[in-house]
Amino acid sequence: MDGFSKRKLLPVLFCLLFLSTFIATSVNATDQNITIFLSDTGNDYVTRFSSSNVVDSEGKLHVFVKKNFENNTFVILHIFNNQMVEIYRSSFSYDNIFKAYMMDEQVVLLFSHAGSYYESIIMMFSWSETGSNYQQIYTSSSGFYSINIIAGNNYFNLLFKEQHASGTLITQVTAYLNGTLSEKLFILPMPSNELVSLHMLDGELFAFFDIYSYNESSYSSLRTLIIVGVTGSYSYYNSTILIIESGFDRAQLFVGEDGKFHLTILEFQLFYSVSFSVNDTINMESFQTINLGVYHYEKYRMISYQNTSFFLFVTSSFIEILDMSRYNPNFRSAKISIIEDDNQTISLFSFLIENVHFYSFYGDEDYVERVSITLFENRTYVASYPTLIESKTLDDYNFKSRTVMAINVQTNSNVELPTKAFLFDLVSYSDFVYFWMKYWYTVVIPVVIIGTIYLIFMKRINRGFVKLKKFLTRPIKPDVSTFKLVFINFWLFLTNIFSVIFSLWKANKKRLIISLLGLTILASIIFTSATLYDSKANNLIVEFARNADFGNNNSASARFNLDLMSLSESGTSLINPNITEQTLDEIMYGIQSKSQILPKLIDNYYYDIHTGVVGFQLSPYEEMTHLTYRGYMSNYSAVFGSFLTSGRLPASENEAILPSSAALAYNIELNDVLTINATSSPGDIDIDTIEIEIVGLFQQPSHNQIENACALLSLPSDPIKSLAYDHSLVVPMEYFLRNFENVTKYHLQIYGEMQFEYDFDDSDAQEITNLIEEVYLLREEGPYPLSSSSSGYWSIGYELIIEFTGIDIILSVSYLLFIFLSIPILYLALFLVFEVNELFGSSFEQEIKILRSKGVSTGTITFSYSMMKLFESLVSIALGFGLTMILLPILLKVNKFLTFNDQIYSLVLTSLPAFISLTFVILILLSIPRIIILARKDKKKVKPPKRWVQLLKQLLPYLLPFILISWGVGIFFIGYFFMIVFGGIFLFMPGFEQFVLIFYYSMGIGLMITLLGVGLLLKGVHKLLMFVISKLSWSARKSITSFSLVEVRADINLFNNTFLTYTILVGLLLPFIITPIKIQNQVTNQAYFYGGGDLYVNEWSMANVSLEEFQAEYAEIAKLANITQLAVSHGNANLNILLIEDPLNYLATSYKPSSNLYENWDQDIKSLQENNTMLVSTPFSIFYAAEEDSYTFLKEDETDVEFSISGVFDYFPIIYDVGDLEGAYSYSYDIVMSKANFLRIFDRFNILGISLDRLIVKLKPLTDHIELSKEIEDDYGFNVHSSEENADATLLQYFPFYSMIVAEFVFGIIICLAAVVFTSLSNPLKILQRRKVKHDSLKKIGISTRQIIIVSAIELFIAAIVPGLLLGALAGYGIERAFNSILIELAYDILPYAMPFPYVLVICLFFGIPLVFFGIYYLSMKRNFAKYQPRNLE
Amino acid sequence: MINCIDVIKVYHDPITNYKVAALRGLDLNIKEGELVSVIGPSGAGKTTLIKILAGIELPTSGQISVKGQRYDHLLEFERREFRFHNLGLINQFISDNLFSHLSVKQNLMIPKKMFYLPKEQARKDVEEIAKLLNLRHVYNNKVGKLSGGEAMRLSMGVALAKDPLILLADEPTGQLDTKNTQDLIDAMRQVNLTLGKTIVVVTHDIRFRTIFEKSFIIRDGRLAGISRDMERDELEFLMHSSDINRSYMDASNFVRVPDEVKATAAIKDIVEFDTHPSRKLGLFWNPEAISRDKIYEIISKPAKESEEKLEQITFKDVEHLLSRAFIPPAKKKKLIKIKNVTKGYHSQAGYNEVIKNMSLDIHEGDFVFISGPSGVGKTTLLNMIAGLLKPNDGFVNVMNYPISEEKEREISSFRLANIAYVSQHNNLFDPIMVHENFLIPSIFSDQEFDVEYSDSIAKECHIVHRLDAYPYELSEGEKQRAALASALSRKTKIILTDEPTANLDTELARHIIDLLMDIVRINKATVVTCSHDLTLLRPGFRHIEMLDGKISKDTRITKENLEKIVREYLLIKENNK
Repeated sequence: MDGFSKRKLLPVLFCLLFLSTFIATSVNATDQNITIFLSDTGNDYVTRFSSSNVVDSEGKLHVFVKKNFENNTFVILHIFNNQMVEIYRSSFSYDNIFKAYMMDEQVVLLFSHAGSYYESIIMMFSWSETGSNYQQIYTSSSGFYSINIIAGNNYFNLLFKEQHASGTLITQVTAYLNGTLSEKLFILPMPSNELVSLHMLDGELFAFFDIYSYNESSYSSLRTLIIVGVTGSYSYYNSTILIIESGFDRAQLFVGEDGKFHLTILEFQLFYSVSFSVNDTINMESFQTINLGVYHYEKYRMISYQNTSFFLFVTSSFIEILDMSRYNPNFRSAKISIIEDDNQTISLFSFLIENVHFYSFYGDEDYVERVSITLFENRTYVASYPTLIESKTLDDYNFKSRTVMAINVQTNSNVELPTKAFLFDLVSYSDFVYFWMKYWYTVVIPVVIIGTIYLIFMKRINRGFVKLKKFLTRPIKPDVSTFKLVFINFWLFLTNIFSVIFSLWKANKKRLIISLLGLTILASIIFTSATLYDSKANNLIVEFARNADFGNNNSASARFNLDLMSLSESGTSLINPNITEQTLDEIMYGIQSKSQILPKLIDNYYYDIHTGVVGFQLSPYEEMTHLTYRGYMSNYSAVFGSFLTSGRLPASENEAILPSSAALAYNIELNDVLTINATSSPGDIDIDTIEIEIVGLFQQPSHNQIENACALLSLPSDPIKSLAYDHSLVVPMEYFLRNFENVTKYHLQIYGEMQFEYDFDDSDAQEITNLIEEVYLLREEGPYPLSSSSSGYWSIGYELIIEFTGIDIILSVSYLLFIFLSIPILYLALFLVFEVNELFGSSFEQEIKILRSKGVSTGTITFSYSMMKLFESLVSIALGFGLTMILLPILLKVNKFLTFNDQIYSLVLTSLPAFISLTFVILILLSIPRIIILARKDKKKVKPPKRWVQLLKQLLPYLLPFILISWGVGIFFIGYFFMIVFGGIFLFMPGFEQFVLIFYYSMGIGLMITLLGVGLLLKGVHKLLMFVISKLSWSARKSITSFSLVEVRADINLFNNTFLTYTILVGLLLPFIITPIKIQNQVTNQAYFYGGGDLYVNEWSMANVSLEEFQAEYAEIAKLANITQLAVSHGNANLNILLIEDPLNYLATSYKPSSNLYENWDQDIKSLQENNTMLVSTPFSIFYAAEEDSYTFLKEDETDVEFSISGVFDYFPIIYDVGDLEGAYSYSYDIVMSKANFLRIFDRFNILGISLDRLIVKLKPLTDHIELSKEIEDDYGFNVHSSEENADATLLQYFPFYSMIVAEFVFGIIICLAAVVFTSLSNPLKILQRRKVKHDSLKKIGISTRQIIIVSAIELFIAAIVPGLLLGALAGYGIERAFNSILIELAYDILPYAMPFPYVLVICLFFGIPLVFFGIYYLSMKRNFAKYQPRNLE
Repeated sequence: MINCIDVIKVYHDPITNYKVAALRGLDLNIKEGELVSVIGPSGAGKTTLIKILAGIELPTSGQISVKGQRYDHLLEFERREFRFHNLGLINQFISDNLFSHLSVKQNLMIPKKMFYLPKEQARKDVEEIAKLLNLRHVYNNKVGKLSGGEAMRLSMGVALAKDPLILLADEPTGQLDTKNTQDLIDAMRQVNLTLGKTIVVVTHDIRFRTIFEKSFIIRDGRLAGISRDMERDELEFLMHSSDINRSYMDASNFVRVPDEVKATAAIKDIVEFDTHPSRKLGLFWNPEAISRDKIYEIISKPAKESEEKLEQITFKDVEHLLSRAFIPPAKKKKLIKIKNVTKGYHSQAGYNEVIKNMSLDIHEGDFVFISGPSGVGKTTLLNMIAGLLKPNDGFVNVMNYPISEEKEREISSFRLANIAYVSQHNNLFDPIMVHENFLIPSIFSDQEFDVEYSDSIAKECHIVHRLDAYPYELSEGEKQRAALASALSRKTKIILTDEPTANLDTELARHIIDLLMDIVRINKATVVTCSHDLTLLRPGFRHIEMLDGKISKDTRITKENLEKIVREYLLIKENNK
């Protein structure tokens, strides 16, 4: 069986191998891209690098590479058949001629250089199978500035031009391969600067002139292209003349293999080509034309075969890159466009070459020379071009420089290419050498460091080695080889040490539990916060994406541009009306093929097309006017229908609608027929026209109107938004192009905008993040060409990027806030961990003492206990993780201050692994130093430390806070600075928030360090203060109090810590509790102030429901009131009058503003019942009532009615919310009065309209406002607003992370409480531990335990808790104010809604905390007092 | 094995610049395999000696070598290394020796694990140690559940588990009762005998003087005497019974002495023998080598004079102790009544009774001196008198105040008014000056502070020159004097002192006793003092000796018995008189 399978396996493997080789080679064959020559760019000597390639008759590639150095030396290399040969070297570079040819079975390279005496030399190198040689074929004493080389079968014609006294001197040198040379001279009377090129046709010389002339009478310029046949030294004739307009450019003449002239011209993007024989007459109609797609500035080249001519254009890619700042001028892709002209048809094909190295951005005139192309008749090509490559991109080659210059060969033919890279001036190092050259420091630096350490601690290290060797080779087992012993001993070491560590670790259960508790709390805070943030942020992104209004954000999803052109008179190419459909299909296909996520999300699309401008003439005498000609999708018919003011929508071809304003402006009337040109090019007046009848006029809609109209039909408004800005002639999409169907001569630039309908229902945040990156890429790589039009292109819009940048910023700001908020919590958690460490320090000390007395080394002790802490950290992290998993679902549900009715968000754990590792490091950093200190504590120093060390040690505690503060502040501001700097630059980049996050983090860290410094400083100040107070009080009076203070001084560190704890505690608790309440309060108040009651309904009178009936319907309704505000004019005053039907009822129904907004609310509203009484706004009072108590409403011929002003207000719910508290200067003249009073004087007003008509509803307590509002909406169909719901909406709008902040608050409070309990427990223990002796003394004197406990409690109160509470309150107030400015004042209007004073909170803080503390403290102290007695020493 | 030549150790406090000589030229020579004790009162330099022997500290001058290795030439880590491999330290407190949360087995295993030994081997070794030290029955118990004796034996076991050459024990029996002390001593002997370890026990327990083969007595940092248990030394051969020590009696009642014995004892033809009156013991000897008288002498004489050169104390040096006598109160008014008091502590290991059904009356104006080894309950007794502890059974009545019955607060205020308690340590408050320390009780009691009186007391206590100093600036002796002055200046009726002279040199200690005697006389106070330094006794003192929670002896000191006590305590030989 085995044999069988083996036998079978082998052929299968063989087949697989064969197959894979086949596949690999077949894949390779299609498009080869190989680097064949490399040179170092690391030095400055190389200035230029050029290549010329030729394929020999056997299909093998020859590449000649010329490399110019700075000192004018150049080298020419011949690369062929996997060999590189230097064929020429000269120190007189003259970079003019460098081109390889294939002639007479020989590969010939023609090149030039300067001679040693200012002459120019042309060299010819020839290579054949039999051998190679080079010869100097021509020397000239002057340079050849203009040279044409015409290669024959076995000769070159070198044609030079020079300015001559009587015109142009032409030198014709014929150089044969065999070395013979002939020279002729011709003189033409035309100036040499107008001579473009020289050509040979049938042995005759032709000169091509491009002569520019300016016609002053017609203010136009003309160009005359003349082909001059040179028949003798001084004789010539004009073979062909063509006069063209100045719009043409780059006229070039070529001679093809077909023995004809090929004249080519460019006009903008259009390429004109014509071929003719000598003496033929040509005109513009003779030309064939094709759109090149881009405007081409440079020279182009022709490669000619018997029947076909190819015109080569090399265009660098910079035109297509929109963002120039990111453009690397030396390194771009180039597009090779080739126009193939076989005299019958003219066509264009192109290919791209990547990373072409250009020497300068604008300097290189002839890109075509940079890229050497051999093109074959079947469109296959070999292109060689200079490039820069990174050494790491090339396998098996290691170079010193990061990038090297290379010649790249790209081909789609099966030309035989070299199989290896050639090196010149460049060494490819072996991996080993390369490593040393490049990364020597990775070895050397560690070696130096280790060596230095070794030298310094040589003795110690040697000792260690000796010890290690001795240990590892100790004969623990008899008859075992030394080699084995090493492993045995090592294993024994591991098992034993970990057994000790583990048994010690788990032994002290109390210590273990409390330690784990502290660390777990810290770990879970970090995990929970991180995950909470992630989850919320992710969900927020998804929610944002789902709710984002992409259809109405004034930004298109994609754009396209079609260039439809048919200028030929022959007119076979009619407009294809389906071209837009094809284009859209192509775009969608493009998106699908270029990206993964985006196509999945696109549900549907809408589009809009228009041509830029259309000239129309109502009569031939009038001037041309420009309109936008726009097509709309049939979906939008109803939208356009709704805007129509007269007429109808177009129902057939050649019908359109027009904005009435445009009609007015252009004097067009309904049913007028417009004649418009089939062009968007202003110059094309002789182009075909079409006639369009205006069948409808519509009102040009505003932005909002468009949006509203579209919203009704659930259509995106973006595609037709531009309707608001321009005068469009609008036709249904189906007729847009069909109207032009029969025109033969047209030039239409068609612009289109697409609006995608996205479906984010199934996407998650990660996908959205990826999507943004994808869109960036799509944008960056675009625009993409369209097959449907030669220069058409499409591109992806900024829409998604812009939209998601918004959320990025919100997230970033939230992150900042979030981090700042979490700092104090972390700080406290850290403090707890430290406290735990300190508390159990003595038990560690005891254990270390035992081990030490056994002679265990400090190193072993440190190692063991550090490992123990490692265990602990690991376990804590596991526990923290577990806790997080339990807590998160609950915390995710928090949506308001301690309410849990939020929808459950999905958990996102992406950053958890990172945070777990981070926390692990933090926990270790927190625990291990203490262990090291403890382990080294008893180590006796034989020598006393040096004086400066001593001094430093004494000074350090005083300097430390300042050092920390300055560090912290420094780091904070550096972070801040960079965030501002980079934040501005990279704001719209993908991954921006991650980038800026680094700075946020550094700011956070800075703040943390600063806080630490401030904490230490506070401790120092407290210490100093207690020292002074105790000294003073003790010297003033010897009493129990002053004695206690002295005691405090003695144990100041203990009190210090407690003081700091309470400062932090209260400092955190205050803002933690107040801020969310305040935010909530502010938001709710604001909503009520605007709403006026629990629920409200606008346009109530439209509802046609009676109040009684309405109230009877719902048991939950307590009161109803209807208020109306009228806009009236009275004399020259415009007033707003709020009418209240029944003031008492209104009072009972309305939201009552707090007294700082409205002082005597109840009284003022009640006063409205009285006759001729009203309330007025401050502006009214000042400007109209002159601050009197009454105002008289006048009317001619009628008695004056005087109204008494019973109140003046700055703010009135619903109607009035802007103004300054003191002497409001908002110019809103408001009056509030009862309806009955108004009826008395209504005839004195000119009523302009009803500005408000609202029903206010007051609900019974315990009613679910939101639910009821929905119920009413369902029952009656009108829009019911709930102030509570409004408040919620505001909250979510301004604080997407509000729930997180609350969660943090909750966390903070829990931590604070834990801290209170913990310190209450730990403080007695610490006091008992430290005051063991003191308490013993006191007891012996006759002080009772109770008294001792109370005295120390009082000490704690006086020295630590009370100052801590006070300072904490101050700090808390400060933080709260700071939060206020960040969270509340920035986000809301400035109305100072009253904040109920949190009595309960204050009582809790200032009495509750001490009470809790004292209770636990007393009990704990009493319980443990007996345990902490000094040992009987005898 | 251990050799100290003229070892001097001076402690220097860099802050106060105060220097204290703990060892003042100590000579010590301990041979390999010896089981010795180093005995001396508190402050004699015992702990310093242990620290130096363990290599934890270096002597200021002098030579010290352990196992031929000169310690004073070694670096700290070398000494530690040496300690790790060669020394087993047994500290006075169990908590300094054992991990209280681990079991007996785990504690024994830790040193083994620190040597990275294979598990089986370690386990075997440890089990043997447990067996040797009689710890098998508690092998898996936690340390907290062990009795004091077991814990101390375990401490020794842990020290032994490293398999050291030398065991250094610092006050190993300090916390043990007689029974446990005896057990521990037996264990030590056993270890010494079977494992051949050199064992050095540092203690102030004079019982050790006669138990081990050699005892070094140190006082004031010098070797004061060597006590040799000669009998033991010479009769040690009895411990090694084997066939060669065994003779067989034949039917005709002839005893055949093995040839080997005959050869080693150089017995010719005749041996003499005699039987003990108990008829349980017979002795034979070589009449050619030793006479009957000499044998009698060997057996009857407790210790043989040391041949080594010593700085010997003569009785003359201490004769003045007898000169000042305390006059016991004439009226026998009972001030402190202790009736059937029992005090014990519950621990995880069970109930441990410290004071056992003790009854004692102390009269007003008396000077009561309570002595006894550590752990007998001296301090507990004192604490009960002070009301700091309540007896489990029985009652304590002080000045007709039922101090054992009242509430803690009441007792405290009673104590504040009537009792001054001075203990060995912890009497002063560091952050305030010495004279301010005197004020503290009056602050709490709201009583007028008598400045003049306190000044005079301070003068008497030789502390008046340091009144403006802070306690941490004082030497241990000064602290003790200041503490005493502080207590005495309170003019309380009852003065309780627990080892009041522990940190004082002999001279000053004796002066303090004189002062206390004065206070008793002047203030009509009653002093109850605990100490194991019997040279502090004075004629007229009531001397209560305690043993295992009971009063073993209650005598009034006379000049005669004081002389005997002092001679015995200081090992002053009769012939030196």
